[in-house]
Amino acid sequence: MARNSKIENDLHKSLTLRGITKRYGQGTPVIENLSWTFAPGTATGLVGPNGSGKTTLLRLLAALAYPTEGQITYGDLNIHAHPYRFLQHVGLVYAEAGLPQHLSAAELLEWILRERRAFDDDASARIAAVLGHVRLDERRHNLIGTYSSGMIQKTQLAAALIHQPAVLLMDEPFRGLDTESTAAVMTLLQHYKAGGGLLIVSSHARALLDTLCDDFIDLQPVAGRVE
Amino acid sequence: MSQTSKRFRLQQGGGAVRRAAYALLFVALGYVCVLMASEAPIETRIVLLRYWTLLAAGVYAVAVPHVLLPDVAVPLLQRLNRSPRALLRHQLRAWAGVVIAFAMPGLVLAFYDPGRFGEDLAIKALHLAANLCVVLGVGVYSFGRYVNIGPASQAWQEGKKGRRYRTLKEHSTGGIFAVPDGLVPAITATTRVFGVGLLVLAASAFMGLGLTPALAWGPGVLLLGWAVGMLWRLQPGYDRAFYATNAFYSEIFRRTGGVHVTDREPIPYRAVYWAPRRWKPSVWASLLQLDRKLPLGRFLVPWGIGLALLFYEDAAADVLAVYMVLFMVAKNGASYLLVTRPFAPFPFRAARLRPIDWVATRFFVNLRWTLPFFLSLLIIAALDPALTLAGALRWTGLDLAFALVTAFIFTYGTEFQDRKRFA
Repeated sequence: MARNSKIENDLHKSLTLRGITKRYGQGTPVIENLSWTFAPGTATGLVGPNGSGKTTLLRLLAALAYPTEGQITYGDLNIHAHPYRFLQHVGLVYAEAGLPQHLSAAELLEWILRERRAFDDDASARIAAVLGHVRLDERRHNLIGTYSSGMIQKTQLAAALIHQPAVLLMDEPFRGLDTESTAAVMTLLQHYKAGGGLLIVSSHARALLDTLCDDFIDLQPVAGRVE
Repeated sequence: MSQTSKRFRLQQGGGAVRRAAYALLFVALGYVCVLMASEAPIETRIVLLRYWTLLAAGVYAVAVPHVLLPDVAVPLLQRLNRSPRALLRHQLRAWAGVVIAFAMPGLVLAFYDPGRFGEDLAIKALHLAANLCVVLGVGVYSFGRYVNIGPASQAWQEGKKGRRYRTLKEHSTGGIFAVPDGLVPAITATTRVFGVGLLVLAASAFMGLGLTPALAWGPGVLLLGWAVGMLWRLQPGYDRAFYATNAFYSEIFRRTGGVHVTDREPIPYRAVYWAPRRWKPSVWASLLQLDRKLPLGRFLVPWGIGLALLFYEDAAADVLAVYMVLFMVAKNGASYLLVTRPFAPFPFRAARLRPIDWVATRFFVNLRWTLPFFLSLLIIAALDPALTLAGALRWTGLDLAFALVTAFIFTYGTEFQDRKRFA
């Protein structure tokens, strides 16, 4: 119960960018003075051409990169000063999966729940359910090293959702998915959003984003940037 | 499933090849220590222990970022959301392998004494313990200095700090200030760690010479205690240190926004004169990559100066042998990086060349510094009769053998693993 009420509280927190600038080295900033508020129960799409800073922004939001100026807060929490506390509320889908090759998808999800102290009597059922939602078939018990790129993507999505995060950060989540799986994932994300989840997604699949997202951050390459 | 029915362990990339390289290093260090310690009188043993402490301090002073940063397991660690304390344990475990590899040979130096094991046992143990405290202290101190270096390094990289250095860089010629701005704090940390190690070792040796040799422990114990205290203070906010430092090293080593190709002058294609035409493109491409991760050339001059000093000081043959072998292990062992996934992902590698061609490529990569190595030996041989031409040729031959063996082991070790995975 205590855990559920904590999640309920988290669902009402916003993620706020205040004057974020990110510069690699001493060149032109990739992102300059960006302020934005991501509200719970909304999906925001990060769009723009290659090299416009979508992945950099997602890395900043995941505490994988640190801003040159400005700060990002989740409620009152500065996420770069307290990444562990912030990541308790976050599910992540990375552009590069980086999953352990010698575990099955089901075992990976079990590990995540155990590490996050969320493995209880219902955990096995929850694991089966989330793998079902992303349409990962009976091969969920095979080793991840044997998966196709689409199956790896489904495993990433399941790993991001299994601990019921309040914030979902996703970089190209539809990459490698077939039509049926894409539709299933879209339904899952719509439910997530309707349940109060805060969703930030970067993708070139504009038609899908138009269906899913309430708002967009349109990033454009800064002239003169050294790539 | 019960709460405790399963134990999951985080596996680092590299698996068997990494373990084989580690075992090779461990055996090589053990072997040279056996050579040095065999039949050495107690006075020599004490001096050897100090040399060993100095060497370990030097390795620890530079090795932390190369061993720990950036951590390939970060995405998984984020998914698991390990606590600050668990992140500290995760990095300490990885670092402990290096610390132990360079700490254990001290046991051999102190106690390997065929036929006279029981002689001077208390003195041997006392000096081993005193040096071990310094070695461990420097190991922990170096770890503590580097793991929290991210925010300062990023400030330098983004131009918020280091104005004076940039001014010097702009007005200098000859590439003296060729280090990327963001790596200046790491170089400062290296100097500081090695300097502290040197001072504490000197203090320990000074106290050991007095009437109360037991005091030789003091400086090492103090350093170790201080370094552990430093980690203890870092622990509550270790998540910030971990992610900030990984973020910086990820940018500088991996990402497009990090070190640009112009930050270091790349090796021109025509400069790869020693590689046959068949392997020249792959040798050149490998060297381009290796230089951006681990520019070995900058270690060559200090190595040559060190070698000349050892000859000038009439160092024992065993000490010279250790110095040479460690150089060869480091020089040829660096090509291990070339078989790791960021340098040569399996599908790309398999499409480009056959495994035997990769062996040849890495062999010729390893040969890059062999001619300068041979020439350095010739110069020393011309100045000091202690090194003969035959000796210089013998060492160069051994280096060639090291180059071939490491190229073969690294290539086929990785090939075997990857073929098993993708079969």
